[in-house]
Amino acid sequence: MVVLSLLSTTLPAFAQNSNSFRIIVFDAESQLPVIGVSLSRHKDIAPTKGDGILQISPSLLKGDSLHLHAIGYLPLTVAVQEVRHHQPLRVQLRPMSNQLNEAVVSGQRVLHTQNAVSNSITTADIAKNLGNTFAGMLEQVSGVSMIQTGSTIAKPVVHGMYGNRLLIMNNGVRQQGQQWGVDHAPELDASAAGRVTVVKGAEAVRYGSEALGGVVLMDAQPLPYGQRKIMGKLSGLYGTNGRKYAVTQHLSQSFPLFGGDAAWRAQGTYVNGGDRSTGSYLLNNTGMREVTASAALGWRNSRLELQGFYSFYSTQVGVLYSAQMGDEELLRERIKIGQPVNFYPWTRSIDYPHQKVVHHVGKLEGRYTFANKSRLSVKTAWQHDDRREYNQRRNYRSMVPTLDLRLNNFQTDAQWKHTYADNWSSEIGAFYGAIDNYNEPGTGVVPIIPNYTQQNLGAYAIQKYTGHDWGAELGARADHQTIDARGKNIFGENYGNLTRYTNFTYSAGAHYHVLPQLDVLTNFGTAWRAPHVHELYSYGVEQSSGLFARGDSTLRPEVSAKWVTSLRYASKRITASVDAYLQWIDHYIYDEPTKEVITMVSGAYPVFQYRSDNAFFRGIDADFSARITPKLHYTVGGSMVWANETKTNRPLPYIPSFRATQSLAYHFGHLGHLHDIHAKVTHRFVAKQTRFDAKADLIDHTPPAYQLWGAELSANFVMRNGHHLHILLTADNLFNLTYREYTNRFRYYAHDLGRDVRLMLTWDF
Amino acid sequence: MNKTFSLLSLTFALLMGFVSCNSTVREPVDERKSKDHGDPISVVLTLTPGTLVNQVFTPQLNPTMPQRSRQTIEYSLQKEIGWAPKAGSNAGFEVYQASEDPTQVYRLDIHYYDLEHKDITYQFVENGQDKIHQHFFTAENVKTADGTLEHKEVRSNAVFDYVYGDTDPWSQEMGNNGVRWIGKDNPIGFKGYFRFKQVRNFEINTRLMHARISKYSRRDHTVSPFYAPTPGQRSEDAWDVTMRFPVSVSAASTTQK
Repeated sequence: MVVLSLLSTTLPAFAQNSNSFRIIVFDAESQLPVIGVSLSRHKDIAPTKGDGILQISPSLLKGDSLHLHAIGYLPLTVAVQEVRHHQPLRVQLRPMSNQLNEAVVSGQRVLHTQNAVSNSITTADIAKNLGNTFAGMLEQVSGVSMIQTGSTIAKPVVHGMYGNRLLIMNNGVRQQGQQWGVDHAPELDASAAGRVTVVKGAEAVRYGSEALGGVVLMDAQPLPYGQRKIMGKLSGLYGTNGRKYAVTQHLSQSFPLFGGDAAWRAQGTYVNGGDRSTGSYLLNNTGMREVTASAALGWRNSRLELQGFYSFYSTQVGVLYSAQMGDEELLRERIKIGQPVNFYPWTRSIDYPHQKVVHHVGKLEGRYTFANKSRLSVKTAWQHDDRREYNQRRNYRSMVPTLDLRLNNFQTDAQWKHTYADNWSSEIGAFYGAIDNYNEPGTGVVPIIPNYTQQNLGAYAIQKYTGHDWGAELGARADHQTIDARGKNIFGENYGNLTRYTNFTYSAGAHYHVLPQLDVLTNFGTAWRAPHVHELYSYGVEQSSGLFARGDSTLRPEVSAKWVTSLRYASKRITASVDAYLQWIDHYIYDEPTKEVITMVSGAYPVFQYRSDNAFFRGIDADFSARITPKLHYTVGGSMVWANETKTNRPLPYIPSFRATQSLAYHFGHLGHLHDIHAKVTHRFVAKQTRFDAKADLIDHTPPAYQLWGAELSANFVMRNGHHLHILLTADNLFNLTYREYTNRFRYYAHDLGRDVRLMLTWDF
Repeated sequence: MNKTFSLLSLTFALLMGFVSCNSTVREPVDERKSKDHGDPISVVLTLTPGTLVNQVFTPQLNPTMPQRSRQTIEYSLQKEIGWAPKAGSNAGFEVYQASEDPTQVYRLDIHYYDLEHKDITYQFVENGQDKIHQHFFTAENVKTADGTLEHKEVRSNAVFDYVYGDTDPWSQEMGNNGVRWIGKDNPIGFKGYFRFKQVRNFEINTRLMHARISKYSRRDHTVSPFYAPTPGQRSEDAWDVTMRFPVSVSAASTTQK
């Protein structure tokens, strides 16, 4: 979809030449000038060079519109009137999302192969998700859903996989936290991202272990080298459900330094929400707070680029009062009631129980381009994660957490990439990572996982051929992982062991440009994941599920083979894509009900034993969009996953049911000072999950199917100084439906969220 | 320049690795020894027959009925078994049906102990903790003498009566100077009195509620009866300790007066 964004400027650097009109063309993603932009039917106008400027003499400025085009970008139509009235006129071209040839845009790396199936969420769509969870933002990608623990905790699910089967890369750093826990959301600020890409194939060769379900690449905006003016954005949001408000600010600038260019970027976000509501009642103690900040500083010249990055993430989320852990009998009663019994007045305060997480990431990165154009990248990163969970405790000791996990992670990787002989490229890389994860003493609660250290070593090589109409690649990787775990169980006995795993993964992929509008991609790759310490050594009641989990220290690594194929069609009026996949996983680890019940101090709990068996996942994602008229646009997308153990054919738990989303958007255009007025209606259908094993769940039935309606209204207001004010009004669950979602683990105790109307104002300067 | 960059990068990366992460796994700590360990390591339930006259209890065996002066069940967390009566202690209680003499009762004392077998019962009572704790007693799997299972919905107060006998100070006995009976207005259940109404075999499910705010109703400041916590209490409050044990109620002796 073409996005037209008009910026007027009064920068003295661009003094108007009375003999010509100027259009400055920027890349909509990277904000860098686009080279090679030309005007249709005006071959005498020279294409843009490095400054992105098109110079148009007055005699050529005729008719109603001008058509801009460039290779690798969607074409853009500009009104002649706009060119006359805004000098120079700054416009943005949007890169084609299904571009298959490797596009090297200065300052922006391509972080995944073009032979892998992926979908991206653009800057504009990310911006709309201020105040939303990271998983909630990803849900707009077909094939991605979420598994939730209440209204404030959500983990992304790609093709039925989540937790430590889904690798998240945060600005090139492997996100390391307590992702093993189903109620542990990723410690990421959705609004800080410049671009998010979901790679659905197994990219394990490039990224190593834990990429079974795919990889989510979250990247900040590239540093604005060459941008001398401080530019930025300030956004504010208010949402009715929970009376949530949020503010985010981005600033960036570049300046010359030591013969090269330096650039910086700073960002900060604050979110504050109170108790949320379902369609019919309040959910007490579901408030949240979030504070995030990040800063990046870089320097580059023609050969060398250095960059430092730091981010801070802090969140506090309340847990619904009635979703407390309880024994089998209590759980049965709470499930029978199905919603809270007592209600208290709405508040922003967060009471016990709640979770608090603080996450730091620091990164130093260098890239050097050799004389032969090959490039060496070296990156070092450090993370610290601090997760505390609080519950009601007697003797006024609730401020002592019942779970207090600390994690330190160091990782370093190096990559060397060389493109040669016009069509070939080789890439080799090495990775080292170390984790120190421990339970901070003093909680008074026997931890469910032991203290452990983990060391990972990996090396890979990828060989790629990119031709005019097709391309292919082969890759191989070797990994070695060591885990040393030590813990004390509920009887005070020591447990744990030193385990080592070695694995080889490989991948093969290809893409073919069948027709000018039709492309096919296919990718086959293996991936692996070592068992996590909680799967090896658990012996105790899981706070989040109310089940007694028993680990198995003899579990072997999961090894998967995934084949993904994608067909993509893009014409002027229609775009469509279908992704289909098959994934076999040997030694798939899961917790199975044993029919045993164990009595603990607080009551009797069903025992779930971690074990492994072979599993088979398959599914299909499809998207279709059509420009019915130049102003009316329709999109529809859906996804379906089937997953079961192969021996017993038993369905696996928490696999999302079929879901489809459609929208109808109308672009009104301009009205006075308002530009790009746009209205959209959305409809989401989620089917009842029928592939469900009652024995592996707390109840013997799944929630019924449901439909949610939403709406969106947006416009741009161009201010006198050329700044922009973007207004966005959205509504989710417009008709305030009371419903339950199968993949929400709190569905036993409460319904899902009711209507939320949000107003967001963004000032671009 | 390129060699310098490469060397510097690799050196820096390696150095960072050595200094930033602890490669030795940290020794775990036994959290049961922590002062904040909330769960008792063992619980002792002691049942004593006697008489309750003017709120004063006197242990007394009925000479017409053969019975023990005291029965004790000690719960602890055991490997392979879980939270269950320890070997050597009673698994349940054997009692007689209540006689027409209303003063004849069975007193149940409950004590909680930590890892050093230190009595930590006071932690649930003192310092305002009495306002958020209450034991409940419900009858389950009620069977007649011939083994017939009674209807699931049989109310616990049809099977036995229980009176909260908590005192202030909690560790003192009624009859001593300055000791008040608080069981009616501030039921906790560390001391209480049973009368078993029917000849039945059943299980008593004893549960300790830890209220989120208060055990008293927001509406009228009343407390829940011994056998019936409210749906709100079941839904929202924590239930810290559970003990389920069998009780066998025999008919009173025909020679009983």
